[in-house]
Amino acid sequence: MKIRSPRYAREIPQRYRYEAAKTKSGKIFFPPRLVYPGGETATKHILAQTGKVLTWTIQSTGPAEYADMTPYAMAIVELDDGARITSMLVDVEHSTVKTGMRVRIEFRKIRSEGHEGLLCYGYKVVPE
Amino acid sequence: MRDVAVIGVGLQKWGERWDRSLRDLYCEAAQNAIDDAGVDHIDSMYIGCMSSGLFAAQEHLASLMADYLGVTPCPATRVESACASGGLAMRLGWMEIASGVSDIVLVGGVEKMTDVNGDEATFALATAADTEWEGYQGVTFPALYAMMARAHMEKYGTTIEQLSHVSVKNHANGALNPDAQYPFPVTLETVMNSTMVSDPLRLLHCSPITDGGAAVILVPAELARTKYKKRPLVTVIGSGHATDTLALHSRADFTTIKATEVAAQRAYKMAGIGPKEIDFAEVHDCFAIAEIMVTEALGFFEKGNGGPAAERGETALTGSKPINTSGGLKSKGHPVGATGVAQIIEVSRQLWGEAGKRQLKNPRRGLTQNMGGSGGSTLIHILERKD
Repeated sequence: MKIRSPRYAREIPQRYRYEAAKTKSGKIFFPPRLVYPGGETATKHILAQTGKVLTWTIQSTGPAEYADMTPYAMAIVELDDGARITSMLVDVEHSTVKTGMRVRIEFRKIRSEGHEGLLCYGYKVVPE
Repeated sequence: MRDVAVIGVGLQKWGERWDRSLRDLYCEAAQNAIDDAGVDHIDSMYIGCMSSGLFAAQEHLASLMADYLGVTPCPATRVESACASGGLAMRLGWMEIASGVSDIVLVGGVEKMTDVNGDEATFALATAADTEWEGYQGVTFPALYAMMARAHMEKYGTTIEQLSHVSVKNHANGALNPDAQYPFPVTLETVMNSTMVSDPLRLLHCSPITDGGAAVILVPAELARTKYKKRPLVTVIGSGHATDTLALHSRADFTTIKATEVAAQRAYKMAGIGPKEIDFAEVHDCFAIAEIMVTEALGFFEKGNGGPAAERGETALTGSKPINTSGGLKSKGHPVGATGVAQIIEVSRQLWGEAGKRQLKNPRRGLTQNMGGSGGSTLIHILERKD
């Protein structure tokens, strides 16, 4: 299943520039939304670049386009501004991955798509 | 609202059914249910199905299934809530009768999952998570539940042995169910040494890819009392439905299924009972950790006690709160859209006393819990035998 280019381009502000939104009450939404709970309004917020692992796994299997990367570590990360992301955790010895470990975001290739090998980018996390 | 009764059920042997198409699986289960109930027509029908488009390149199931069941122009509605599609079909069928709109409703579910290869099936299933913000990062469903398992283990001390006991128990039950995909027992050692899928979850902590259909016939309880009375009267006394965030990372607590807690509270309130009054349950054990978290969310066990309860045998056929007497998703199979309907079938059979070798001793109330994705939706029904 290929991602059509408008669909890819639409997410570039989040995948390349980590653009989120912060509501008046201080809650961060990543990605930004058109509608916020309680009718709140929000302004642009750039995600904190560091955070900690809340939970993690080592995937021995992955979707087809990620299969040649297995085994890889996957984590849910709480960034220092309170926002949360799901991200691959790379450049790490799997035996050292643990809950609470400090990580930072890096801009990385996520996958190559289709027979043409088109490169798709985004964020991964690495040990801080 | 009118009381609603289950009067007939139908399914077929589940598994890799290369001899059956998407439409065959639904229509076979549906016709079996119609014959079992002894009804001469249906007023309306539902089709719970997660992803016939991705699994079988076929949408517009309302027309397809009504056509191939030979009941056009009967109203037909296909509903989707990922792995909870069957439970949602049940709720809508129940509503349609409770409201007085229809008298005889066919509630069915189906998934044809083996007409695509493993990668394509994994892709289709992954669309029940957040494609842009989870799937794109390379996460799979086993990985999402593995992260829940890790959080549960670190918070409550749940062990891999306890997770494995869930699989052993469900296979022991499934071995007594001739319709199950994998009707054989497995040992604790086999489970704990099976192939690693997403640490700490191994292959035998995960439900399989399955072809299958399931269907039930619902009528007003009054009609069951007067016309369709070959069996003990079994009615729906509670129905609960709730949603939660699509992405797991957006949830405040990864160690509980909030949508299940809320849906359960709604169903208990409607039924006027609590978890202690439930004799047994069919729950959504897509992964072993899910059964543990769900039995806690349903209030059967305190938070953190789901694992120890499974290890002590409290959820076994002979335990104080039997869970997944059918074998659950693990052993019976998990044709996604059919699962929620098959849960209703197992509870009905137990309440009728027709569960064969896995029959419980005189149960009165059973609960079904069917959830979508990593817990983004939950459907709960409570059925009671009226003597």
